[in-house]
Amino acid sequence: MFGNLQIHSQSLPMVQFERFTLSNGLKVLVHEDPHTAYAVVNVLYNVGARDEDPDKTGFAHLFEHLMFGGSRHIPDYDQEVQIAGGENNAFTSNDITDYFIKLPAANIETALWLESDRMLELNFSEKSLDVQRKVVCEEFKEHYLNKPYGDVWKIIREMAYQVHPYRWMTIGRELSHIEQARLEDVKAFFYRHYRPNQAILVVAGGIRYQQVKPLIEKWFGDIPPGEPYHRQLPQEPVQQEKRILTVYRDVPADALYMAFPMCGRTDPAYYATELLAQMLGDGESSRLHQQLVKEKKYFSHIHAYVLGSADPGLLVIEGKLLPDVSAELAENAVWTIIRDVQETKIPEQELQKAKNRLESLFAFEENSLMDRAINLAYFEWLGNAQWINEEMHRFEAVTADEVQQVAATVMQQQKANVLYYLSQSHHKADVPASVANHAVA
Amino acid sequence: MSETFALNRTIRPSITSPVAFDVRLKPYECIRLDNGVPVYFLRANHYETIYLDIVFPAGEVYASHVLEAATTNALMKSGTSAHSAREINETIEFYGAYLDAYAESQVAGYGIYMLGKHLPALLPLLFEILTDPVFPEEEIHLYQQTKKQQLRINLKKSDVVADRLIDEVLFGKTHPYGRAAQESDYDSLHRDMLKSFHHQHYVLPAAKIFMAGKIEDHVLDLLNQYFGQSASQHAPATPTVPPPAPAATHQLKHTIDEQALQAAVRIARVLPGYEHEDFNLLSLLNVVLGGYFGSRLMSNIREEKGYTYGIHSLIYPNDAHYASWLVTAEVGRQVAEATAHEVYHEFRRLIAEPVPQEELLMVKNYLIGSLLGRLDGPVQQIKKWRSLILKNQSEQDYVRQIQTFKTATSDDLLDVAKRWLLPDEFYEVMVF
Repeated sequence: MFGNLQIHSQSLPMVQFERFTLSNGLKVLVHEDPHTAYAVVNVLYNVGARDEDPDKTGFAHLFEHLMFGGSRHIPDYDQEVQIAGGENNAFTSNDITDYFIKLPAANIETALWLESDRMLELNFSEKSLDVQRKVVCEEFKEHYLNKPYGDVWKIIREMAYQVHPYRWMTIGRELSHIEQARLEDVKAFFYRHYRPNQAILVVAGGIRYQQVKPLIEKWFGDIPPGEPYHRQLPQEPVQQEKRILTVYRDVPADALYMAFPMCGRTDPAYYATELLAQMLGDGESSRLHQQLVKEKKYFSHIHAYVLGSADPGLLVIEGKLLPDVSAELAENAVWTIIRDVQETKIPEQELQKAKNRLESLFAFEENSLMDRAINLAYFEWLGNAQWINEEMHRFEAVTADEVQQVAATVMQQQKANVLYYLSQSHHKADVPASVANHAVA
Repeated sequence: MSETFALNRTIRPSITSPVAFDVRLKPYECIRLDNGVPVYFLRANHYETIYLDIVFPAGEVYASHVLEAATTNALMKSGTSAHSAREINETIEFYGAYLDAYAESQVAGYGIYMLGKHLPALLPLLFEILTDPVFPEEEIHLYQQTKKQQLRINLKKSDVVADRLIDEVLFGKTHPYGRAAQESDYDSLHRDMLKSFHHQHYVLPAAKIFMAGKIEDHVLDLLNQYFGQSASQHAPATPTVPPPAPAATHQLKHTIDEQALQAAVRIARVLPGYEHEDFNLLSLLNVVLGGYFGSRLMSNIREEKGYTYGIHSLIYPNDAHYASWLVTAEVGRQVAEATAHEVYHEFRRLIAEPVPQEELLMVKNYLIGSLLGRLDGPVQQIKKWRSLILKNQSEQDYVRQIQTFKTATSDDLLDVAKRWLLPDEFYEVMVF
């Protein structure tokens, strides 16, 4: 019942929680926090954009919107949250869909009532679908079509993933998929994925375990489970050669993107990979920023990060070039820095800096009830909620050698996906001649 | 465990209405450093972190050049007599700290988030940055290049352009609340300007310090050792804020992209500031109008008509005397006019009909609930105290505001709507 007690020398306090499973398969975590008068109820569903039909993409995200269109017994979800003095939101990724409510702990039962009812059955209606379709189309336009650099991620995903469903964005591969979504598809999606045995419920904050456990059983206990979902996604083949693409767009500054296939979130090498990305390009004292923004002045901005996806993800370097700097010159400069990491011993101070920054970040997340609740759900989904107390150890244990090893295996020329995203307002004489894919006008 | 009766999901569980909650701020502690600088703080020793904010009267209203305040603030950390920008960044990042340099309309300063154990290492550097910046030419040049490029990118975004234009339309091109930078303004920045602005306005005895987190006594001693010793050089300047100089016409359309799929719509007016007697009621009315997900604007324009991914209204107070009431949305291009039409329709409804009791109660519950939600934890609480203290307001003012929210009637709202929500008094900007 209790989360394993661990003795550790870290300064970060432990996040304590209780764990149990209902007979319908719903996994439940309860975390008490006596310092707050608030509570968070977080429901994580085991479905993301990667689970979609390639001809019906954008569904998981569209569905997130539909979840607010009313459930069987409760016509207006948002209104009930407001009456109880709460706030709520949701997000969808390529891996998961997550819903959370924060409200005064005294009103915890409202949150349980709301989440259980829409897990039980949504109020499927043409009107709701019609409105949310339009809203999602506007979201598509606002974030991806009407914005400079809006289609970058569509391009990068399609380049880096030839086969795996990560090749499309959460918003969807095309606007038309959303425009053509039908109510029958929506219903089928719900009954396949939005079942208690596909969900993780976290209740956290100024509540007591003894008080909420019976309430959870009361509201969620009678929801029937669904068929088990066996995820069988096509595996992305190992990339064997460099991919380069040049596109011209109506943007004022050229941009360079480099994406390298890396491991998944639960792979032991993940920790060294994230620290590598941090050292390379997170913060003004990072190598890429210091050398290419401050010293060489090739970029106005540059940074590196990892997509911490469940299936093998990407290590990304992206930057905006200053005027009159060619993308090829900039790319070569990045490779020089990559080679340096691979070949020269990494100073302990630099590695410690990256670890210190993570320790800080973890401490701030720990201060936030919301972050704790979401993290508990997420780590439980990954394998074990106890990781919330173990992640910092794993990062601490990474050695400079391991980081170099990851740099050597991940950041190779023949594993790179390189995008030159250029301004169409001027012609570049030095666009690279070797292109593995066609140049898109 | 089986229920002996069927669970009735149609009945709402009993709740405690947020309007019944007591919204109180945890009392802060305050000490004065040797030079009189006040330090307002909230201890939370179960935290490992400290949030520290050092605030100066160095905001926009003190600057004659549109970029003077922001640039001085941003570049203070780009080099001191003792340390280069590189060394400064390296140290801050080594200790895992996050520096938040900001310049607002009245004040400017540095917030820092760090692990408490690293404060002794970071405080001397923070003191150096704030008191002894040298503004190296190379850093200024780099800043100019970077910001000009960012500006070029931003001017391609209809929402950014619309936000700039509406402020200009309301206050005028040269007004501190209406002006916006062009590329040439970056070119005209120079070192003497920044040094002089820093010297004039980052005067330690005029600062206020706010803190929350793991604050042990040695922290206060260190603060005094560094920030408590500078003696007064001169009195801080008084800002000059002229009255607004609004545009001659109330409607402005601007195209930046013939092919744009969306338009940015802004409908706004100038209101009196937070010292005005109507301000609290207007804040409440604003929530009804467009301040939450179930608002009049959202229900009509997003949920019913699907014109947009989000439409909101907000009141942002510039100072004690001037605030802006703004309706903002990104909408499908072809429904921009229709959106404006619906916005004015909602204004007129609020002028003509009192808000029904049930809706008013829901708005109050939402508002009190969200205010409480934003006071969760010592960092949020000290930020609220900061907001009150910088406005020269007391806890009594806050209590009075909450009371107004809780006890306002539909007639109270109708009254302020009739005086402040007249469509003809609003200005409209559309950017395609």
